Amino acid sequence: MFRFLKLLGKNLAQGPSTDPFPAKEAHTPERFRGRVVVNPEQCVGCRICHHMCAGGAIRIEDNEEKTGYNFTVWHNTCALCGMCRHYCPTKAITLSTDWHNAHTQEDKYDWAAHYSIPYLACAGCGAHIRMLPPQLAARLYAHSPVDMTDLLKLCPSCRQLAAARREEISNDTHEQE
Amino acid sequence: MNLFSDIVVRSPWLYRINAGSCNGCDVELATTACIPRYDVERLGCRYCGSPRHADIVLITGPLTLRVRDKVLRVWQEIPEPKVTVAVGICPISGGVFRGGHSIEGPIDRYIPVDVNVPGCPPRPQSIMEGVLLAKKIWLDRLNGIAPGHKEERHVSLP
Amino acid sequence: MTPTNKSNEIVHDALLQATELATQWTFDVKQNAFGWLRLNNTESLRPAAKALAENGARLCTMTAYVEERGENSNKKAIAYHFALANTVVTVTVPLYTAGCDTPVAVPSITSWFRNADWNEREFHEMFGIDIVDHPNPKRLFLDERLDAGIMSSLIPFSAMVHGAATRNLWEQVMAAKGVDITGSDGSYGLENPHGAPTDISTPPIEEPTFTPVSATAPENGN
Repeated sequence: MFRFLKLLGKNLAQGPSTDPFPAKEAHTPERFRGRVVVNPEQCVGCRICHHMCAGGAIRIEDNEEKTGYNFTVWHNTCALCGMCRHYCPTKAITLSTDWHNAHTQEDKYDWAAHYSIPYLACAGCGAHIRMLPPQLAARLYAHSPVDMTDLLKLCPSCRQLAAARREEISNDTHEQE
Repeated sequence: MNLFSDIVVRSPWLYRINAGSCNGCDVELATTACIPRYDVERLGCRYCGSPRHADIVLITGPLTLRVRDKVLRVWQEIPEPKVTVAVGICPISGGVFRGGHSIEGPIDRYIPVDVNVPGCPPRPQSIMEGVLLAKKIWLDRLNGIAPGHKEERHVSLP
Repeated sequence: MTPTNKSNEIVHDALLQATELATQWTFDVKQNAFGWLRLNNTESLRPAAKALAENGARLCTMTAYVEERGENSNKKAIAYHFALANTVVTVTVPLYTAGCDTPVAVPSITSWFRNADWNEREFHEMFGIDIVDHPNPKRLFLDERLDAGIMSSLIPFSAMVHGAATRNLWEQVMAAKGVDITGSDGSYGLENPHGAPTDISTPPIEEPTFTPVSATAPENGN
């Protein structure tokens, strides 16, 4: 008979179960998949995210001067599936925990993130390249005896030439010995 | 009378239309309404069963060819001033179905949308934000601050 | 090869009498017989189906396929897979006449095999194959306003696996940023690389009108 008192006491101790939002900020789990965020430093423009995106929310296009490319994510067709993050080889794409997405119709086409990512002119021939992000290069060439700092600023064919030249010099020194 | 309406804010009634949705967003709408954890009634909103009683309409789904006319007919039955909320990426842009052969959306090709809540599906709190935004627009329309654009909101039906 | 047992011989003779064509027989390692019959024209499907039904055959399923490779090939065929007591007979009907690309209608076999109803309706709505004398030629899934054969006009596999996505609405997204992309295919040039019909232009938003349904399409009764 007094079971209800027990329940009443328990509920009083527990407090309300209603999420106080919007009066208070709602709890968001750490791994919540919210709006897509791109780190332009890390992006190499490989387009695998564009390839994977089911909603067609990603657009990558050279800018008018061809000195870089524009990376656009339109949040209004993004299904927040996280496939772009999963497949990004340089971990440039992350999903933030930001879910405050409600907006008025005027902002419909503005509800996008635009990034402008510059190309690097090759130190050898001046061709436009996208340099390997330094963090990734550090990981890749951690055990390489060659100093990569200058080599990374070259396009693939200039790098090949540089490698051949390096080889030649080391052969010469061997012969002299 | 003005003093009274200033003190007592009117409560919008919600109505939801499924325009060919996968049901994901509808489930989220049901959770905002029906379980005590989210509880839209705290915001003065209430779901109603008839479009003729509604003030704010929440539309889910990419508007398929099959349901197009039915959706538009139901939408027209909602009295002015009404506020339309597109819930989920499908009504906003077509989402992953954009460009499909049976997709007639995005919904703003036919219906003047006021608030967009993207997500696949959006989380209940996000929908509540959208409803709050819609409520603000609705109250502004009632008070004549933002005109209802009744003429512009005409949709021709077969 | 000739059939090895009595009941297969009966079917063989019945089909020979009905269509004047000899069924080819193949055998697997366990000596199970498989009959293959390719008809010359769609009309001889009627007597063949009748003969098979009279000999107690069941229709397993039907397969519609394009016989010739090539992007614009219209040479479709239907393979009807029949099961008899101890064998499988496949009757293939080409849906074209030799030297001509015009598709030919195929008679319905639903009056002999009731389960053909579904497949025949499906073929009609998905691939645009015309079925003659179907007792119930209603659509299964697609809306009446969509053209028949919509599945034949979808994106080529190569375009699909290259991650082609529709560019619908992107004009407006980029215009909001002040970039005009109308006419540009993107200098990366990989979107929609095969000109797949994924671009459906958005009509102007100011005029939300559409054509009445009742005037163009019959009530579909669902």
